[in-house]
Amino acid sequence: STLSCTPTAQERSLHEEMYDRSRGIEFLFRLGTTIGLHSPGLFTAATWFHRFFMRYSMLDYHRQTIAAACIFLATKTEECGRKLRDVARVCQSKAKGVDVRDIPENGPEIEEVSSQILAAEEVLLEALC
Amino acid sequence: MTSVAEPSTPRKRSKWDQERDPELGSPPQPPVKRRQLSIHHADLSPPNASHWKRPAPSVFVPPRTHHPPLTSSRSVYSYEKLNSIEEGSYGVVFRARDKQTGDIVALKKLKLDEEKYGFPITALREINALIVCGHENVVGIREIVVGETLTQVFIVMDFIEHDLKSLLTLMPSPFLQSEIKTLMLQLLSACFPFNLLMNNRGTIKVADFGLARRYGDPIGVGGMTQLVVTLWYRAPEILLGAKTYSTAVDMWSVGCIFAELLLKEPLFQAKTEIELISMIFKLLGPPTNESWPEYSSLPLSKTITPPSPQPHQFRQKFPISAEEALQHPYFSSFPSAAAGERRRKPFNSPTAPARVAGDKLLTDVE
Repeated sequence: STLSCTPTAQERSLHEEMYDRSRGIEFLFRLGTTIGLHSPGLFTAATWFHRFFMRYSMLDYHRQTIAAACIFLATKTEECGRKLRDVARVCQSKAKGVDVRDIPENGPEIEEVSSQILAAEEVLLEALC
Repeated sequence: MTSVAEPSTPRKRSKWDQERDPELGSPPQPPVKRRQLSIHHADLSPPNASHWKRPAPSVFVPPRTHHPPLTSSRSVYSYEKLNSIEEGSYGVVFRARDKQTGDIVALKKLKLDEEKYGFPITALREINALIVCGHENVVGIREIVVGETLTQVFIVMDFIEHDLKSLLTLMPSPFLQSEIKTLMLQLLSACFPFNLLMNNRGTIKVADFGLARRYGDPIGVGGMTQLVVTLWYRAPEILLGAKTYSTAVDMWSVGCIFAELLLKEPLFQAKTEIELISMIFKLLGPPTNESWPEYSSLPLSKTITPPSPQPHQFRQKFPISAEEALQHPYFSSFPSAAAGERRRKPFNSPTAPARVAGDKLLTDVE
């Protein structure tokens, strides 16, 4: 069926894709819970995440970047505003497996992650609409 | 963000469509080395998101036409631009014609450039509020269309003939009492007095939801925005720096518009906030503990000295709610909203001036 013909599944394998999707969703939920997004927001973000990877390959877009973009967009649509900087910071700490307090609040690292989330958000919006 | 049908603009996918013949030939080989958009590259030195080039959608993605239920937003080019109506801080509004159906619509271009934090939340809220609302007195939304890039997003709305402001300046005489009553009744039942439009049958529509917010939404860290509503219609509690506000500020604005309909010009034409607050207190008298118990707790109330008390007004609890206002004897007393008045032909609702500006307006007045 179409569900097994996703871009990632054809480039790699369906098994690998499913594994990576669940890892991405797991990351998305950890990120979302930490920044205090409520459940409907989490589910919205998760749906977008799956929809996005129906169109784009996981080789082009890392699952964690897209997960972060989905969460950030969900905080906006679900009236649960969070600062981009905070999302980027928590995201980076989860990705690297270090405590949030060890990530500097400002600096090139956060700038870089923020701009990647924004770049991903743009592609995400386009893929969704 | 999905709306009515038609495949998306050919721009993005077209390159692939030309290169591959869907039925014939072997599937294209995936490119070998690709740069991935990944937060993990953030801590490696050189790559920068601004240098990162967006890959095209995967060659394995079936074209949209293979997924009839998943339709994308139409292109703005399915409309023909006629003329621009007005330009505000929120964006530009155009009059346009649907190329397929020939309908005249209003196209509102959202202001999206200079955004630091991605797609702006105000735009998301506005679209959301308009779609959810579906009220008779709220301008109808047809669809969302997109232009070439993501900075071009348009809201397609029903075209409404007039906006109240220019109508008031055009009309030679003020609205009649009965007309004002119909308008006020409509306004109160919608109770979102931001940007008012009026069609030729005298129905008011509310059009600007840029700052609408579901009442009762959780308030974020910063509280609500303090800069809402054009200065003249801003309620005193916002002027005095209240961190939260309720539907009462909308009622205040409705009241200001009520006065504007009667006077044919805005009630408080202040240039600054200080001037506005002193005008309000001059008209209504200084706030007292009975009329406005919360006054002294507002952040900025200490910084101004209200004028000495005048023996009038501000005695009732103020403002009343929209439901209370609808029950007010004003609307049931003569002349009633539906009756019309005798000095012109019996219309049930006010006629708007003819569409050609400068034409004879209100032709039947003596």
